[in-house]
Amino acid sequence: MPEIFLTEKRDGTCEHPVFGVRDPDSPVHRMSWENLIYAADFLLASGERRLVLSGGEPDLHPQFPEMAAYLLERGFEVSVSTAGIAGKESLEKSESLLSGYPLQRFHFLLNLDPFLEKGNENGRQEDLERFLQVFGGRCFPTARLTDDRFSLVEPIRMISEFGMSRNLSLGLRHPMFGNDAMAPEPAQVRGIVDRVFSFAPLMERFRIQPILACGWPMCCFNDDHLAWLGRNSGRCDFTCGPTIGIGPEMTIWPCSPLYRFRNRSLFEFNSLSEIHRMYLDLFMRVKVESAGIFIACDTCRYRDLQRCGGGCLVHNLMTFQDEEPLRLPEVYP
Amino acid sequence: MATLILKATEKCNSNCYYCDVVRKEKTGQSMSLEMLERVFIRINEFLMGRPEENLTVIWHGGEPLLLGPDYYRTAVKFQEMHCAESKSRIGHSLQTNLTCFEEEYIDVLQALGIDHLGTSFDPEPHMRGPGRPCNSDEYNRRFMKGLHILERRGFPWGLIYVVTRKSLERPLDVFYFLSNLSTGKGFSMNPVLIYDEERKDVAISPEEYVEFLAAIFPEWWEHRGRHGAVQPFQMLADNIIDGKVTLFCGDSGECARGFINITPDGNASQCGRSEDWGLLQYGNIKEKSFEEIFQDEQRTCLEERTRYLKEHDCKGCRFWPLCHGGCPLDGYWNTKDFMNKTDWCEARRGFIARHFEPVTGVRFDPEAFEKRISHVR
Amino acid sequence: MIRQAIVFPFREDLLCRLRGLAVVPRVQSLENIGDVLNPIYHAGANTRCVLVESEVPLTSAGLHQGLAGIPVALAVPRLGPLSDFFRLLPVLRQLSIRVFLPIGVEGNLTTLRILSSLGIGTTIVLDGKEPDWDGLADLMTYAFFGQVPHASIDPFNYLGDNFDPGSRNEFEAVYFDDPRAYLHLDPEGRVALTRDALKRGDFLAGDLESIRNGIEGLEAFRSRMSAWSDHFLALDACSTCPGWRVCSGRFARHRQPDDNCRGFCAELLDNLEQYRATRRQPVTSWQP
Repeated sequence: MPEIFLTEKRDGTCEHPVFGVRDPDSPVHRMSWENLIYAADFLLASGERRLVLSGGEPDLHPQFPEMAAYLLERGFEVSVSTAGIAGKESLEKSESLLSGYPLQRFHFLLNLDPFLEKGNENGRQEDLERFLQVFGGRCFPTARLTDDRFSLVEPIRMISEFGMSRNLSLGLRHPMFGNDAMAPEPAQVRGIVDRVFSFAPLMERFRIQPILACGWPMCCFNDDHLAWLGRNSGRCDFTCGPTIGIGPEMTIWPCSPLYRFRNRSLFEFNSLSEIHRMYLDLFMRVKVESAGIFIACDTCRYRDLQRCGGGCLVHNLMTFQDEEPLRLPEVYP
Repeated sequence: MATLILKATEKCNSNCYYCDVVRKEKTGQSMSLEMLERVFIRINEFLMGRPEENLTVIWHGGEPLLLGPDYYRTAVKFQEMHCAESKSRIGHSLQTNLTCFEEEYIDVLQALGIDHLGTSFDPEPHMRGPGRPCNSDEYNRRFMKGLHILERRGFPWGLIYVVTRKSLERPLDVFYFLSNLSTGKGFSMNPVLIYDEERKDVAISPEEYVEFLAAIFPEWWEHRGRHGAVQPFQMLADNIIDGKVTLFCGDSGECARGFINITPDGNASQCGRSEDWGLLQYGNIKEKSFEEIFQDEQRTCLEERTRYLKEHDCKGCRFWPLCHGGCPLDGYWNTKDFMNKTDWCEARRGFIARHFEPVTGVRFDPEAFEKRISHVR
Repeated sequence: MIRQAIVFPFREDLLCRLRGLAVVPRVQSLENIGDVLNPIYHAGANTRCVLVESEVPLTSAGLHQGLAGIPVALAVPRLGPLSDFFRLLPVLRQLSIRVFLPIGVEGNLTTLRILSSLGIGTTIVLDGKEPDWDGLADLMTYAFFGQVPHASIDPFNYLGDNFDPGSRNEFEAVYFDDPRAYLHLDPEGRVALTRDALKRGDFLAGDLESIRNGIEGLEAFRSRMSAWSDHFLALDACSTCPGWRVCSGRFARHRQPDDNCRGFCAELLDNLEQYRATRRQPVTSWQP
């Protein structure tokens, strides 16, 4: 599902910004109406009816509610990736404009990362609770895991209290190409998986159905884990493919972790499928060079069967930077 | 196809700066109805003697519309009376400055078979109009009035523009002006021909004419669908690129036996310019038939010219099939001898080689063109 | 016979003169529109559309569902708060409305695109203020080459639909200002050929009765239709503009022609030719 980044501006709660440090208040780094209309036309012409509004923090765009309403009126299903920290005025406007749309047309992907560890809430509980009072029932919770010290207790409590969707999207924090020291190393993934399943009884009790986001290597899950997921989870997909991000200035990238890799402009293309094909081809070339985040991926049966994508390929791209440049030219930025 | 240039009057209501007609020491006479009738008798005689031939009558002047609509009604009557069997092979066209054009002309011109008017215009001030300096304001206003009548009645018209020194400053502006005025129906850009010292201030050299064309040609080529048939570009494109054979009279090498110019008093000559210069005079239609005039011995020199130039001055020239040495009168002026190629030779070749061919990407193929000519003939 | 629709400031005492004619009543607001339409109907005239010349933004213009089925040309200075607009949108979508917006007001070029993309027909108003030429060119490109269908943005789409490459292409009709299609009355019933002529007090006739046989033969009409040639007589910048054929000096009215409008009109002509070349012509199927 393509992501449209409405603004590069972010709030302090997000420790893992997509964009670098630029002047986020400059209108240049906010989606203009002309570009939004162009992007909407482009997606519609490509037959795409679903999109994610993202950023930075999308509802920090001064016209976020209007832009969301616009896209809904154009016929899109709109998901908004947010930390839920809209100011009071913005929240009121959003409620007024957007509450009337059915849930399947409009909902939020609520980032609960600050609540995975006590003390990380960054003092935005009040804002978040105000947001959840209004839109809790439209929220699909998400969490990105950095290490094995997290707890799902508080997120599950919030899901229950505010009536959020019981489908909790769990993902690994992926490295951001070019700069990230916060992502877990491949060797840490098994520990994180074990930690997730330590909350399995709690999830069962509260009917939480986890959805695995992209980039989990299947080999880090044992048969018991997979059996549990088969019985209790929503969609679980161990593969990886481009989702396409569109920036305020119409720059495109294959997915958020690769927002600085092989950027092009939306204006260069005639359809989403052209872009998808281009980036998919790029992903395949990376996989040719290195099948996954573990050495064993090169001979993995499930990778051959395309049941597993071998983890997030940003790991591989970053290791290529440290080598002699002997690989396929496409795998370098 | 034979062409009769019928100079029905030498009277003109304008004093165009570069025109030779008004400068000549003539009586400013118009063709009498008696002479006009004789013209139609001669036309019929000619066409009945050549069952496969067609004839085009180009009404010219002076300003032919000064003769009034009744004159042309009489011409229609004469054609009906004297050309009953041959009129289907007679075509008419008319060249006018439009300044005395009225709506009542339309029906009578259409009755004569004229479905298109040729006209000309100069946007530059003081080039056209009565008086000296020419009062172009009033002239232009009347021209536009005539043009509005044509447009209102949906009557097609074509435009000739004479390129003078005044044109050279802003060639593209001139081009857009003419294209806008004619709204894509096309027009001709002919170089001014000045042979006296008095009007040298508007004269242009062949090289200057080529520079003028060169400044415009890329725009025409890129948007030729929009601008229409602009001459001389369209002629070159037709012949070099599109496989047609459509050469102007002076370039065809075959003007010897195809043209007659008739003055108001019935004197026949080769063409308008030859008549102005007193050259190639073939007698009077009172005494001579058109057939006799077309067979006049003097025309032989024009045929001979074509053969001579091919073997001498123009031998080996890649552009010979497009040019045939150019207009015989252009070659005559400086040497007083017809056996010379046109003075415009270098400029014309230069335009094709340095501008037309590079811009279009098409190189003229003389052999293929010669084959097409012989096929057409 | 008067073939033109009559644009008139709505007054009941003018209605008796309009029997049998197509009319465009001019009003200042949408309030009590029934009080405008009913008398016209009973007077035997035929309402082509209602021209509302409002001084308030669109969101405050009083649009409501009751206007459904009434063709409305709504001229407003600007849109108003976007959030209000989106609340109003479900109503707007039920109406037969075309929104006229002046291009000299900041933000209106964006508004025109938003409205068009949401299926609401729009017309740009050349208000004499210097426009953002780049933004206008961008809007024009969208009008012709938008990737998905959208409502028309006039005069661009009007030109696109009516473009004749071998003629001058005028678009005054979108502003009710083409004397071949519209005539204008003042409150006293005097007739003018155009809005500007009305403002100048330059009347064609004292009343409609005196032109019942039509105006095509009148000198004033012919003079107006041939006014384009004034540019050529003056040898002005418009006469040598590459975009003349799609402008006829209209984009330079109330301002000096310059490289800005020249460049814009040249691009407009290029786009029109491309638009016509790529547009599929409707296929007429055989019918018994």
